[in-house]
Amino acid sequence: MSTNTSSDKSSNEIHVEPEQTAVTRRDFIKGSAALGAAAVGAHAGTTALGASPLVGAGAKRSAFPAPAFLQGTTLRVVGTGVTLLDPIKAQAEQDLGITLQYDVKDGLTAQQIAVTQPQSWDVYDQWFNSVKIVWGAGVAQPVDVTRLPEWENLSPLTKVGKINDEAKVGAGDAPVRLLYVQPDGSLGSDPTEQVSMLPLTFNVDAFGYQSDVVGSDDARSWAIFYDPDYRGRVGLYNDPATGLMDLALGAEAAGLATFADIGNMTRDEIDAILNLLIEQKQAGQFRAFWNSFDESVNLMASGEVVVESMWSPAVTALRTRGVPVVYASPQEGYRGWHGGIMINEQASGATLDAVYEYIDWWMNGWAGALVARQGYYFSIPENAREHLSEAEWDYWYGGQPAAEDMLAPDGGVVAEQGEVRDGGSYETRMSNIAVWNSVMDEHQYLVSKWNEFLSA
Amino acid sequence: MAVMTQEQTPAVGSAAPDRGKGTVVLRGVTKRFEGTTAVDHVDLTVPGGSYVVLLGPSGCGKTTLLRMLGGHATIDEGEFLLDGVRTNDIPPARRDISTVFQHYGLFPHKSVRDNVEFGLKMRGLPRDARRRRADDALEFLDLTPMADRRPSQLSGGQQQRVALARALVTEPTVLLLDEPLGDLDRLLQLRMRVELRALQRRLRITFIHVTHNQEEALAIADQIVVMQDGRIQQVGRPRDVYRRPANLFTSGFMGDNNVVAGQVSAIDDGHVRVEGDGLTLLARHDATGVAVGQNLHASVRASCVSAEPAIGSGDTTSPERPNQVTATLIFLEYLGDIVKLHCRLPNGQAIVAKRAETDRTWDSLVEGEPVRLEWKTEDVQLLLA
Amino acid sequence: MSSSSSPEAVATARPARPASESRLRLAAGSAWALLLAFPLAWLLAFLIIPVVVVLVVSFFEPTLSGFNRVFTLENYLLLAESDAFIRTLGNTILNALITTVVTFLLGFWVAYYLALVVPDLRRKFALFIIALAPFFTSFLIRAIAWIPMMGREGLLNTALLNLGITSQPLDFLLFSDFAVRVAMIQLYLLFMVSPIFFSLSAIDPAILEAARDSGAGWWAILREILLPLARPGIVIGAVFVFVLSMGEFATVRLIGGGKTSSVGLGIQNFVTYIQFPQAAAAASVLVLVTVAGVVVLFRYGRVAEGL
Ligand SMILES: Nc1ncnc2c1ncn2[C@@H]1O[C@H](COP(=O)(O)OP(=O)(O)OP(=O)(O)O)[C@@H](O)[C@H]1O
Ligand SMILES: [Mg+2]
Repeated sequence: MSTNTSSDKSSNEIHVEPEQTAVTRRDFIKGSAALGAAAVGAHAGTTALGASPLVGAGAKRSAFPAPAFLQGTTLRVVGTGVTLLDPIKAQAEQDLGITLQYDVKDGLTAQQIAVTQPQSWDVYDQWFNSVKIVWGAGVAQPVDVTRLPEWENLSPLTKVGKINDEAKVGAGDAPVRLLYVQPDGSLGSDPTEQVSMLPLTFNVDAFGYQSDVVGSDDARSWAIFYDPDYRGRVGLYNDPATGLMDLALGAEAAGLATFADIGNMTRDEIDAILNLLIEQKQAGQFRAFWNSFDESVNLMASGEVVVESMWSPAVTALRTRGVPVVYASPQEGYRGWHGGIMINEQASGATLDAVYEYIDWWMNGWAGALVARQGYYFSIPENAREHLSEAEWDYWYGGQPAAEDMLAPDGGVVAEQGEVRDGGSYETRMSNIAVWNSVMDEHQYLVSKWNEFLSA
Repeated sequence: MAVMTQEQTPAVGSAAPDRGKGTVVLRGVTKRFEGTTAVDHVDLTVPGGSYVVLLGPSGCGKTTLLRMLGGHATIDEGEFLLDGVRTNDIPPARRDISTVFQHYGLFPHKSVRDNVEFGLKMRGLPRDARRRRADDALEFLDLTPMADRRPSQLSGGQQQRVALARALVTEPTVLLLDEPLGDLDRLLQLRMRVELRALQRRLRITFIHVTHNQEEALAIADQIVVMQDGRIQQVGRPRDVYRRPANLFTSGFMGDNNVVAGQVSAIDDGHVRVEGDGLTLLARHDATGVAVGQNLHASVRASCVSAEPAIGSGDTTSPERPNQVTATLIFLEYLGDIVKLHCRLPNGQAIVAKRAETDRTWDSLVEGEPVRLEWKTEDVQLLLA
Repeated sequence: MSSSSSPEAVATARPARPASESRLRLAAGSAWALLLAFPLAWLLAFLIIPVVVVLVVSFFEPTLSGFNRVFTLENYLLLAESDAFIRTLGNTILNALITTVVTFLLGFWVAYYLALVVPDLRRKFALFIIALAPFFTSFLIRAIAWIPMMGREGLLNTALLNLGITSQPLDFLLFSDFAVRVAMIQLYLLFMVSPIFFSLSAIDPAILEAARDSGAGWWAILREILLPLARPGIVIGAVFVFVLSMGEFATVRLIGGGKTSSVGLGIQNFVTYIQFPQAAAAASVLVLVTVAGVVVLFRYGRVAEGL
């Protein structure tokens, strides 16, 4: 498989010169105001998490000591509903004695705010596929890992690029390739003491399908996106850095395209895949594109689509609504994503101290346990484990049948006793990452082609 | 009652042209709106080619009556005959009747010429023919230089002439004019009413003209129709209506009349004696039924009352000397052509005398001094309603 | 007689007058300037400056995270060479024209009914408010309500299937050009109705009576009186609807579901992908085309004449 070749390129450095673009940051702001970049559809990708009294049921209380010197500091966090969750906010505020303002947006909108309104946030809680763009805009400062005692324990998945020696690194923007700030200010995989984004939450994505309509054989491969049996019933994620990866994996699986490096396509490869997509779109293969989490849930719930690029919490949400949706474990491997925290370039003094405390609090595992109940993994699994029950750990990480009913953070049952997690254990799933969400070298070219695809 | 039915309608005077088309006959015509009867059983005959003015105060139903004639309001009850043909249900387009609307209703988006051509266009005349006729109508009303202007670029008087031209170009037999002079300043009103009258004479069609201005009505009409509360009060030549108001309303509405409420005390020798308000009046005894002891009103036109300085200061009012009285001159109102003498009897009753400026008898009168007022028997009008 | 002194009086008075008049004029002038300053500042701040900024940015070189201040025509060349952009522009114009024409054809009668058929003012306004009702809810809610209405398993499709009119759900009711057009028409109808309603309401009823008096029937009154007098309202409504539909992206995204596009949506995508120069170039083209359309509408509509 061609993706294997890309793993050798792990030492490639991404050359982004912050100085060059830092000058123009203010222009973005003006520009975006002028364009009236109204964030319609910028409704947050929330995962229907209320501040329920059942929050953290079964988990140990966080034993984190509240440092007195932080009292009264406010941190403004911009990010997505994946990690900006009310229970996390409440717990962190209580433990740290700070005030958190969560600005919950969908991924692209959060990224846009990070770049165009750097004065409006202290912490950027998003994904590695936006690191190139946000770091490149010169709005973030490096995270000093020497200030983080838990850094030592961080999973090799991000520090080295794979969880064990047998695993494949996965093509594209594996976090390690964008992690370390090199002496010249660019980002690369050679370890240093400064990182661009402190890796925290991650998972692998696939697609969801309605098990009463879609045969499980069909659902074994990403090629299902091109299956004529589901013509007009396929839903896609409108994002060239992620949605395209699913489609490229599918095209490769269906024998419709090949890529030298699926995570970093050439112009010709981009042309080829997008021409294929336009052709398919015009033939009526794709029913709809979604931008926010809620939209992805609605499309499947209303029966508009039966196969859809989606995130695992959407599957959970649909299941609790009684829609028989299964999250696929495609044989070609998953599309991986890794989240984390970036610090604003301007943060200093008490604010900066608070940011480090907040990161440290995250690394301690309480939040990691909470996101585990959403189906996500945590970059220091052992720390999350401390806040999970035995049964939870075995189900979510161990890939074993649930010893008891598994509860979501809001108290709803996500898995009944005896159920096994789709795709198996943490090890199995994370060793099978085909490609990471990526911003390719030809990203700008891809964006304009993707726009053409949308208007075709 | 003084309301005259068509049978009683006096013939239009000698000034009237040949009787012809455009004879309007109304029989019991009625229009009701929620709560009010705007036009109440109107009977009226308008001879073809005459100039009739409907006169009455605001809200008396003039416009409503006109709109029924034009076909813009349905007739709830009664009959409207135009030249003998029942016209109640004929749509406006097919009546030989045109209207000059109260505020003209000119089409603001069309040129003067197009406004005038409009009716012909609606009748399907070819472009050339209607252009010719419209130009003739414009010429006729001295509007040729303004043919290409918009109504908003015209003076009030010019707009009024455009409305006339538009109404006349279709050669109606009856022209309805609703307060046609109402929007004009006084000088223009005076000039235009002469022109309207002349126009009607030239065209020899029926004009039915609505106004609440009695002077205008008197100046212009062959016949005046006095209306109040949806009902006709009196129909007659201007001089008849003016000299002999048929009832209290007409008398009050037609200018300076001294009206006295009184009782018939005697009837003899073709005279009726009326006492009231500290006065004794003697009137001619007409055919209408008057009985002794009857309560009625009597009116005397201010211009029929003569005034001279009172000799002595005794009370000259007495049954032996009717139609004269001594009063006090309160105020002498000098109006140029006319002098108005506002007088008061000892009992407070006001009497107005109007004298020509050239009649110098008033010259020796002094405000605050007694004055002797006198009028003739034939000038006393008995009002039975 | 006093008449002999009056020419002198006039003669002395004359030079004095222009002086005081000009003083007055000056005062009036500065008052006017003040009055004009506010809208001018407003225009400058919210219209001219943003347009200039967009124009300038459209000539900058795009980078991954924004742009460099380096002059380039590349952004425009890319648009010109892109079939997809040309097609999208064409589709945007077509949708805007369809929306404008259909909202006029429907909206005129709604306005006609409200202004001329409904007799009393209170009922007129009651109906007008009812017509406004959709605008009391947020756009998003209305757009989202389309899915249960028009979706594959929506009310309309279910009804059609149950009645046996169709044997398969109709896909084009949602996520299609058709759906986008219907939604835009529904959304913008009121922008057409309102100005036409006010134009028609302003017509003196005597004018209609005068037309009838001159022998005009219903059709002639419509053609000769109502349409010409409603023209300013029609043109203003058309400008509203045209401009709004040219810039439309939210409806296209939500109701179009990615199956159809508009220049506005393309711009929004470029903005979310932080490709501001391309967004600015597309926006400049869109503004240009929209302004051209508005100019044509005003020319053809001869609005000033009718006002
Ligand atoms: N459309 C209508 N609905 C209800 N009442 C009406 C209507 N038109 C007229 N009226 C009433 O009928 C009566 C007569 O009105 P009309 O307009 O005929 O009076 P007018 O004599 O022309 O008054 P003006 O001199 O003020 O024009 C009035 O009491 C008026 O209020
Ligand atoms: Mg009237």
